Amino acid sequence: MSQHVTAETIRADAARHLGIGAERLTPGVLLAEDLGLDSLAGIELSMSLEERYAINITDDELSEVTTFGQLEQLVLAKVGSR
Amino acid sequence: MIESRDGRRVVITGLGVLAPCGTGAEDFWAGLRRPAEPVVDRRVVDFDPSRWGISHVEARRMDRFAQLGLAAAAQALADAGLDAQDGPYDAARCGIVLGTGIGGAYAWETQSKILFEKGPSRVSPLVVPTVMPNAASAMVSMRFGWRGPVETVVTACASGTHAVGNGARLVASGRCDAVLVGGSESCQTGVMSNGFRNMKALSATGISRPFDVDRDGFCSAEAGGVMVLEEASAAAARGAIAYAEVAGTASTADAHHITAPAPDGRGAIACMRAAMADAGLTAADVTHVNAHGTSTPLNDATEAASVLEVFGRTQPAVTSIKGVTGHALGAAGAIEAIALALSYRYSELPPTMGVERVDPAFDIDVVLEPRRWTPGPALSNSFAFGGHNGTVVFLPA
Repeated sequence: MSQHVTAETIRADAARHLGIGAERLTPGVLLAEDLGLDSLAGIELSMSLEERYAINITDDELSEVTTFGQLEQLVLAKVGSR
Repeated sequence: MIESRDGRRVVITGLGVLAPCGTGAEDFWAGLRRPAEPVVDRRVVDFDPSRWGISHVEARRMDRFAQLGLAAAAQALADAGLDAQDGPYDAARCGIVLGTGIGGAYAWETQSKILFEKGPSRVSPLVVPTVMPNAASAMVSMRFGWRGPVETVVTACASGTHAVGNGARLVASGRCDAVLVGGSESCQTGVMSNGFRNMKALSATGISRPFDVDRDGFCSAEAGGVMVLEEASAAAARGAIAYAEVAGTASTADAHHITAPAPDGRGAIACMRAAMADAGLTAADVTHVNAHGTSTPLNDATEAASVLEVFGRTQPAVTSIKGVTGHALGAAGAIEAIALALSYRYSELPPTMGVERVDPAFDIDVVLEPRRWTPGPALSNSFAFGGHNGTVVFLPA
């Protein structure tokens, strides 16, 4: 991936995937309680980011994620260590 | 109906339909009289899932057949004026029986491509609940909170008719007070369409012309069709207006060939006779047959001969709406039941469109122009790959 990956690009991609406005994806927003994502939808979102940024998120890593901010940080760390 | 307990009668109180010739009962009915473009692949062009309350995330985990089924169910409940969650019926006594021939064909195809091109780790975790044929009835159940029998019938092109019949039995037997019945189909993927084309089932001209001497195959279609059925006295008590009564039904098999109908029409003949017996009628009572009439050489020849064998000289008026709608496979019987329900409402039989000359070998009364009709006992037929036959008998409400 040649373009610079920032929290903003991740937020924009996740918002597009979920079909919601990016402003709802605040760092503290809860994926399950606030966004109504069930476990399958969470896996689907992470798979879409994995593909977009050519990274690999394990099931264990994903199971630790409850907020959008945590997912964002996980993706940024993976992209940084690529 | 033979198993009717305490004289329970089953009436149709709501219609929901999305078909290539129109969305909503009124538009669909008007569309049945509009000549169709010569297109072998007929789609619901204006379908917008969000119009039926299907969110972006929800839509991604539903293949198009399930979206069409859910949209048709929402429409049918609204047409019936029935509040699914806060209505007069116990949700545990409300059921759903929907048919589909194939299920989530698009997810099968796109996920197969992803598997081969990107590898096993990229296959969607949602593929299983998306392709499964029961997804439509399951999603309808979740949307409306109905918790009685929720099932899917898979009998190819007879699925919709069998679903109507099986749902009607749930009401007649006393198991349910209300049911949503019908079917949905959308499987015009590369694999499916070319499979149909290569087996020479599809029309090469793109003209669907049931019972015509030059018929050359069916035109494939997608559709969703759902009806609300209720026990007649409960429906009347809440002020519902019935379109028609579902008075009998039957299901038989040819036990002959995986795609061809038995040449003597034995399965079709037995099915129509059993359905009339279930309704307590004789052939002479029946004034109209909404035919399967696919526009394939074999189906139409067998069906015409079977209708003649069953009804002889009494000659009920025979219509196939597939000249306009094309063949919506597992949804076909559902949208045809809806056309028949509307025939009762408007005292009119829709024409068999696309026909220039009825095959002179057929000694049946094919309705070629809209025809005034005094509502009476009528049949709706479906005959499917696999040799499955289904018939539902309707009466004026």
